[in-house]
Amino acid sequence: MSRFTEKVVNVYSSGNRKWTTQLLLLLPALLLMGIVYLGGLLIFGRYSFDIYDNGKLVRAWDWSTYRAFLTDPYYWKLIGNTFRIAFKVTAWSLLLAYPLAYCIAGLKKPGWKQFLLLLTFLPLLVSAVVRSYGWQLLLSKQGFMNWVFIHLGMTEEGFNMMNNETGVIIALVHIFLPFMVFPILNVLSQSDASLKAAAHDLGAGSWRTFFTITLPLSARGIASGVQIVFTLCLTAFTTPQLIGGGRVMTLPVFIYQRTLDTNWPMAAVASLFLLVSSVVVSLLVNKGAEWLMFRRSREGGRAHG
Amino acid sequence: MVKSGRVTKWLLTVFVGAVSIYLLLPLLMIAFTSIGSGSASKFPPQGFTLEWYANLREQTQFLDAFKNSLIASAGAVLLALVTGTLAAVAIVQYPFPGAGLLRAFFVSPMVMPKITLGIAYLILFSKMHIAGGLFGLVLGEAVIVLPFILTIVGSALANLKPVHREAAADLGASPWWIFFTITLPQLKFAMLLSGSIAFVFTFDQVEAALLLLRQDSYTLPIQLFLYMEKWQDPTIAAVSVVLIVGALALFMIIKLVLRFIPGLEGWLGSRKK
Repeated sequence: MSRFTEKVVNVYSSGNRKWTTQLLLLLPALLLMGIVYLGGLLIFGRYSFDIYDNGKLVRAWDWSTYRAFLTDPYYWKLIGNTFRIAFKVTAWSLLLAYPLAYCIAGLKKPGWKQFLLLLTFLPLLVSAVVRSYGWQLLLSKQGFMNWVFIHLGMTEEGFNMMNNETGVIIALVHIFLPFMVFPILNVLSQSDASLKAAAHDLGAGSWRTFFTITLPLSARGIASGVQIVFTLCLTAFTTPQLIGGGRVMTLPVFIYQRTLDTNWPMAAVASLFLLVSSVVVSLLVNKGAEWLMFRRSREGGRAHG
Repeated sequence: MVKSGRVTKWLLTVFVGAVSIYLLLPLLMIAFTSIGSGSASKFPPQGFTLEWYANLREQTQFLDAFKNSLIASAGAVLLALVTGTLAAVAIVQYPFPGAGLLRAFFVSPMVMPKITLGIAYLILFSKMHIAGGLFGLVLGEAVIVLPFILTIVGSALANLKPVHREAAADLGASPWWIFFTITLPQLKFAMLLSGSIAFVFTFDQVEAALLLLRQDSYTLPIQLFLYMEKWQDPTIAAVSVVLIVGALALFMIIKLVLRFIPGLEGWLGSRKK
């Protein structure tokens, strides 16, 4: 058979029909993602090599913006700020979410369980802008929190909680808490209750049972909660902008402001850095959790052997 | 031992109570502010009034923004549902070399900073001359919610048993006929679930829309965001209360519908034609 006829036969063979079906199925998504997503990002990424000179964009292939971003201590402070806030918010969320999830998973009365679940997940249905507004009302100098603090005699003229890091952290923890509760609740309600009962029967107190059975079993949930909340925090814009009032600089706020004054090269470089760091963080948390679980199972194996 | 267990339990209850207050406080504060007179940021308010609700009738920009939000979110979710489901079928049912890589690419908007996407859209759509309108926003938001559709519908597809499809194929049905009469009805629940999650998500999208929209096409979160940056009066509290009540009502309605129409779950599950 000549090469040509072979080709013709192949076109009509079933294997090839499958291939065209596949392409037709994928085509809409490929068009959307290729043009809008990849196209937009590539054009934006191209700006990172341009030069921004006193309000004017000069088309070029230049690394100077990258160099400025990675060497200037101002930007390192900015990056440090972003990571510190994300770290604090993640830690506080974990601290608040774990007991809440533990309590919900352990509740036997369906009424209370439903109530706590509603309470945890209702905020998700309310816009982040609205929730930030609520915190703005609570945290302002003459707001409710300071009213309480003054009446308790903790301060004379009220704490400053708006337009600084404290306020941003308090509000961000509130906004991301459900994302921490959900994965932990998921593993806690799946884990085997008989393990806990067995530990108890063997004489372990409730604290020991918790630290040797419940906590290690929920490691996977904690890891995915930490991963979600940390990444969301790194890229959060609405709350830092509204509560921080432009005075709390994080990378997304910085990117927004550079875009407004048309410094697109800097916005593009900072965006790229933000993207890389959020990907790296999720990979690291994943690997870290796997390593921890693997080490545990190895130790368990040794103890049995 | 029993005593220490009781103390722990008591401590846990107090702690969870405190967290519950923390979760509810901003929403309660908004409700309280919406009926107070005078400056919004001063506690306690000077008196009580319903004027902010009465004023809402004149603030038509919020209603317009709400309509824009509905249109943009519905459009984006529909677009993502169609493209995402088709792509999921291709990736799950007809695996090919590089399918995993393609899937990773389709899911990657999840980790992409939304503010970055917002700027990228602004630049791209200005070049395509569709910046400022809702059409561009629909395209942009569809990209953002595609990962939800792809992962949820994809895992539902992977759990389907191939028996029905094989039977239909043995009886001579074409792949397209099989897709519409067998696979699609089995995916109803996954599509509804992922669609609802995607809808809630796009409805609240600020970052990607903030830079992109013109004044007459602002969506609700954008309108609220910009109003908040400019003004400090309790109008926004009144709007927020309406939104919160709306969200609660929607939640209750869905719950009631699911409870009182027992056939619905079956319909959503696996009724086959």
